[in-house]
Amino acid sequence: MYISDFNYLRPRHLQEAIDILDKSPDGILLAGGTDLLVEIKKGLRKPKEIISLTQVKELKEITSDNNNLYIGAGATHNEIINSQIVNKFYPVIALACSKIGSEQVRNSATIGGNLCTGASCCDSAPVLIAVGASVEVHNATDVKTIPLKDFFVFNKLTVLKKNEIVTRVIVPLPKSGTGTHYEKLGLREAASISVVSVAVKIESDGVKCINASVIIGAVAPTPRISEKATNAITGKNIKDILNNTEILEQAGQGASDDSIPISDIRGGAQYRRDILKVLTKRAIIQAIQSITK
Amino acid sequence: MAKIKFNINNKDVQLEVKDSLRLLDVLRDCMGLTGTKEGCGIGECGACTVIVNGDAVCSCLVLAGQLHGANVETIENIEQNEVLSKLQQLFLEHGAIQCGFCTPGMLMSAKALLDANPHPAEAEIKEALEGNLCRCTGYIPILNAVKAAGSE
Amino acid sequence: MKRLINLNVNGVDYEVAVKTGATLLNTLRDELKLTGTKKNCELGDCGACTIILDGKAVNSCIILAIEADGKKILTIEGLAKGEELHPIQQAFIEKGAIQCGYCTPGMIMRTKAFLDEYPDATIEETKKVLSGNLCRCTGYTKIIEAVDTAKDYIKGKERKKIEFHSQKSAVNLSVVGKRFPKIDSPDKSTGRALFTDDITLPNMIYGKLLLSPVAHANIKSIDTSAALKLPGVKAILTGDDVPDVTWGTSPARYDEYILAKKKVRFVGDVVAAVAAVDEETCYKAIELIKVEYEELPAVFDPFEAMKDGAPRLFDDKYENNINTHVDHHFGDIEKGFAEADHIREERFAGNRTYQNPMEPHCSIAEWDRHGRVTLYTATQVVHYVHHQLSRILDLPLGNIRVIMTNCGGGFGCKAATNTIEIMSIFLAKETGCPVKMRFNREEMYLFGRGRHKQYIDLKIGVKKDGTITAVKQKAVLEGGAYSSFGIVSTYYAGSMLPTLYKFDNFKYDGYRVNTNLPPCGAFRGHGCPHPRFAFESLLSMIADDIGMDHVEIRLKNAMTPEYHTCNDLDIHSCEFKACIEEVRKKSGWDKKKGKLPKGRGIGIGCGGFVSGAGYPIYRSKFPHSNAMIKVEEDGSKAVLFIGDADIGQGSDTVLAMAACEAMGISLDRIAVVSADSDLTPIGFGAYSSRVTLMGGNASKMAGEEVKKQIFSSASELMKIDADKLDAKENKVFVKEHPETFIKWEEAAFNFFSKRGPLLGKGHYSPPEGLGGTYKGAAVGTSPAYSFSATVCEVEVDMETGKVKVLNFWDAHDCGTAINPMLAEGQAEGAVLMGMSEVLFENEIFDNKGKMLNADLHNYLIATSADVPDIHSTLVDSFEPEGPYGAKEIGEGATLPILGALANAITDAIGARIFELPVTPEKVMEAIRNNT
Repeated sequence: MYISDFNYLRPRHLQEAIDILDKSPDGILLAGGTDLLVEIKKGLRKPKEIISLTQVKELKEITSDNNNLYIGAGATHNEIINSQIVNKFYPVIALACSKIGSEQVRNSATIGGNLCTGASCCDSAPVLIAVGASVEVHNATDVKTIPLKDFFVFNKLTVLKKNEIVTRVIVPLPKSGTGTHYEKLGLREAASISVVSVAVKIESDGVKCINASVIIGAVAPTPRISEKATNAITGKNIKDILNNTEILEQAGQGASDDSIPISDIRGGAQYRRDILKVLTKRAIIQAIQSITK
Repeated sequence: MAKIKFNINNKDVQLEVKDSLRLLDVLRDCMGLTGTKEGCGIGECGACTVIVNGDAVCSCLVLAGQLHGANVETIENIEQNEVLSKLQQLFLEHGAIQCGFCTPGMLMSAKALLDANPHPAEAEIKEALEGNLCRCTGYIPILNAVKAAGSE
Repeated sequence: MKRLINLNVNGVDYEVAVKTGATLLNTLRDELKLTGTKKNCELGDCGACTIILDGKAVNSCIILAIEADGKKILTIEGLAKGEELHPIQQAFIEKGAIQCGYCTPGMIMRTKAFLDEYPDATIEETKKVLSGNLCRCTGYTKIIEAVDTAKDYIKGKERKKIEFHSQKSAVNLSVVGKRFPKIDSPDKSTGRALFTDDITLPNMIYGKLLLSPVAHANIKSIDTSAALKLPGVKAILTGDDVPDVTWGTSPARYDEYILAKKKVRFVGDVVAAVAAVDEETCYKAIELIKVEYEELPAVFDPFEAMKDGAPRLFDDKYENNINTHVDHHFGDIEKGFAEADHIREERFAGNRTYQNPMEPHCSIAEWDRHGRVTLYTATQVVHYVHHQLSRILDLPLGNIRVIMTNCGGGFGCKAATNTIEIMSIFLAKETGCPVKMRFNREEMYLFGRGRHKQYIDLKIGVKKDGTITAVKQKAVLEGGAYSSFGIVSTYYAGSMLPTLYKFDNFKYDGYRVNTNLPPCGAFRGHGCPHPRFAFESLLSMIADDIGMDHVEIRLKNAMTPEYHTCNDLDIHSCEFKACIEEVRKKSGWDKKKGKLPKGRGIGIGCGGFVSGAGYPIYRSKFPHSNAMIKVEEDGSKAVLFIGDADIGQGSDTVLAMAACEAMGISLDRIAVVSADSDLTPIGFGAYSSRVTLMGGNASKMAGEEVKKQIFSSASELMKIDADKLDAKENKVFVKEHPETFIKWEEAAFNFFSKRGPLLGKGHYSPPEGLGGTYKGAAVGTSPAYSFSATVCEVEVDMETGKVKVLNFWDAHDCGTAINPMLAEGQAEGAVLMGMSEVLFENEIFDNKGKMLNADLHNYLIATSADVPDIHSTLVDSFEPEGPYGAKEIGEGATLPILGALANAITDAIGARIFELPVTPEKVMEAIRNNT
């Protein structure tokens, strides 16, 4: 278990980082390092050049304007958990971030790193997709915005190209009447990888669910939108969703139908499908209960 | 910081060290070679003697920056594969080692002498070792050991 | 190319040149020599390397040193102000939150950052925040208590008095029975305590092992030429370069080679060893060694392995891969079952678990010029290692010195010699340099010696009133590739069953089967936890069958004092019934059992263990524990020299307390030197829960010898007969007139002045003739047995199957607890470890025998966030054979947990899970099958 020497570059500003990355033939970006360094130590990667983003101040900012919440890709999970702005608009993002790793890991690991690692069991992604987040991506010539729902390609693979940096996560501010929740099953109480996770957003006009999003995690090669679960609740009366078990059953079953889980050391595929039903129902109920009056 | 390349005990090494470090510190602190001892730090006692480019020198008076390209030999190199060198063996046999603190420097001075001059006269031995202080033995067993080595 | 960075560590500015790949952890430890921060999993999973970086607690193993350039770092060394400890350190020491001490620096630093930010944190917040810091000794309970106490101390509040009622047997004692902090805990709280990996010797180099990537193969060729050319490589050894001897743990089954000879038998078998200037070079050299394997069919399942025609691990022995077979029959099993009114038989299976001490194995070997070798090592058994090395090296014991530094936990995986102990010695010989070798976490799992997975067919017959008439057990132990402790494990799996409940008719068939997996060995409770899990489960099922309460059926059959079991084991002190009654009362059993809502459940389990094996692993007539005491010439301090090993359980403290009580001095008047084969007389070490009773007796005897000489000296000074004197609390006084006394040290000073050194020696051997005369009768014998009962309460999520443990109420008959705080620490640690094994732990392999979860990220052990409320009680008891009436607690306390938890889960969900671990998936399956 060792880390071979590499060429180390530490840009101070975003533009400098982008330029360095553009010119580097095989540079790898280092954020919190809690995934990358583990992979290097395990011999899975042997980078020749590492470009550290830890000094790039622009990446750390958490701000908002009238339309969006902006979370810098370099913000650590604990910075997000403790951010007043995040908690004002989206406590569910803080909740999801609190489910990742241990306190020490959350002090180092960044949200950008979590997304770019692209693990299917990633904790921050389901919630962010549910609330319609995008990532802002820079390269030497261009800035673009990629909806997070289109960001993940396969387990540990994203659409990000070699010369691109995710600079921030852009989350549209919640409309009034929005409720959200994140449910996760890990095998122990802390520092455990999701066996199954689900994020739910519900927008209501006070009576009906006018818009919904159910995102399932750790049950497919990427976090995935469950169309069936989403459709099961969209347009339904909120009270009916809570009281009519059939709707919840349909949503749970829909999520389960949309999943394509594998069996691994944390659980069998069928178990994941079964639990997904339960967590989806719970997340929907909790999301409704979180709707601000 | 200086980047220095030199050969130590038949091995090429490259180190990055502060310019102000003494060779003695490089050996003891950077390379873990604590066989070389510090007695006075001002070149008076010879406890820190090592061989640089064939000459016995006080490693407390050599700066790291001066090492570039040098060949350095320390006490750790005299014995090979767990077998004591003849000179070490003779030190043991003649009772030339008491507390042992001057011994590494003493051996390195003697080795430098014998490498250059395999059969030195007594006066030459005395001259070669005059910079190495010893408080235990009264020097006689040391001189006898080196004499024995020189007569082989 | 190195980079120059600036670090401010503990207020001191350092300018350090680092490689770009250097981690902050390695830079602190290797460059700045701040070894208080510990290296454990190296992958950010355990928190042992936690430091505070610019105010935030982080894992220094996954932070590059260059990334910390210009930052402020606080490490454990910077916490105390000179000699004045930080309130957190103070609280950890006082509350008994430190056992082996390996997780302690990280735990304390995590706590510091936490309390700086949240000075009023709740217990629940504490549990959550500390969950990234794994501890395997304490069960976290005392750590959580210490953090709570530290909050008060930081605010300057007074120390709270501990309400504590002494056991009856300790009322008149002045040292024994008191809650003293462990004597090594101040050093462990400050990062000052040295573990083997913290030691750097001059000119030291490093070694690593090349492990087989295939499960079963002939080695066709090994080409080391490319590796040898790598700059910095000093030596490479393969099977041809080391003596052709086999080694192991049990003399009857020495079947391991030092390095593989022509054949490898599991993924992880040792093929070659490399020595180089640093670990990185070793790893790179290993990648360059080319080994050509001719793969052979492999077998991973013990039942497959036993079939005719299955691949054989050894051609010349162990037919059908059966490594050990036990065939025991006591009483008359046919008659016993004929007398039963109800008989039930079920199959249970355990799990393959690993001890996972926080400190990875580490050894440093150094030869001197007289052909004598010194080995520093993290071991539980200095003298067994000493003995085994003497065999392997063909050297007399006198040419080998084995020193245990501090040992960061063992639980059995360090209870015998290991490969790096052996190979560091051979590599040091080959290179002429001291060689350090260290397992990483993955290598620890592959070296193995964890718990055998047992498949148990258990049949119990009872009368209508619950009286057990017969027990029939068949156990198949999946043993892995080599024997290790396996013979003993196989015997233990049967022999301990008759020690807890009384029955006269018992048949046991045991098979230990070799498979192409890492070898299994002795893990806390050695061989007994799975059979006990099966027994406690089946007993509760039978109670349900005959309509009897689970507590009542246990009381009906419970062991009583002075009983001779059907397999010839002699029970002396036994307060088992008191334990059962205690947990029944404390848990509110009668109000809860059968009355809890669905999803909530309560269960009882019981257990017990030997207080040391009656016979040692290698045959000798040496006393099992031996002690020497030397008193300083001015009488100010006594030094206890004891061969037994403190691996965190606190034996240095416990043995010192026994010696102090015997001498009549206070605990601050003693120092302990333990587990160094040069300095301390032979002691068989920390295994089979033997140290308190055996080491305690030896220490007490040595203390009494000192006291006798003190009395002779005091008698001269006080001009009174020696037999009229007594000593306590550093005074020698007249029994009849305690006000007439002289200082203890005065008597010691006088003795030394007139007669020279004041020394005492003591030794302990178990009573002669323990056990029966049948084959294997030795296993299970002991001078004394412990007893425990536990009630567990759980809540199960009926929709996901996830189990949340709410409470454990446990009661123990450990005789007199020499130090009740440390005894509780053992109980709490055992409870949590047992819970962790039941709920989370299992080694998983792919179909090629490669372990899939060989790290702390995927092999889950319980964290502080999983900790239930643990309510431990020590019942009144006195064991005549033990020092001041003491028996064991460390291993026995694990045994009731598995059954108690399994029974509680059954109570909650209305269905039983027969195979460990009880995962949410299995719970759901059981619920589904039940409806």
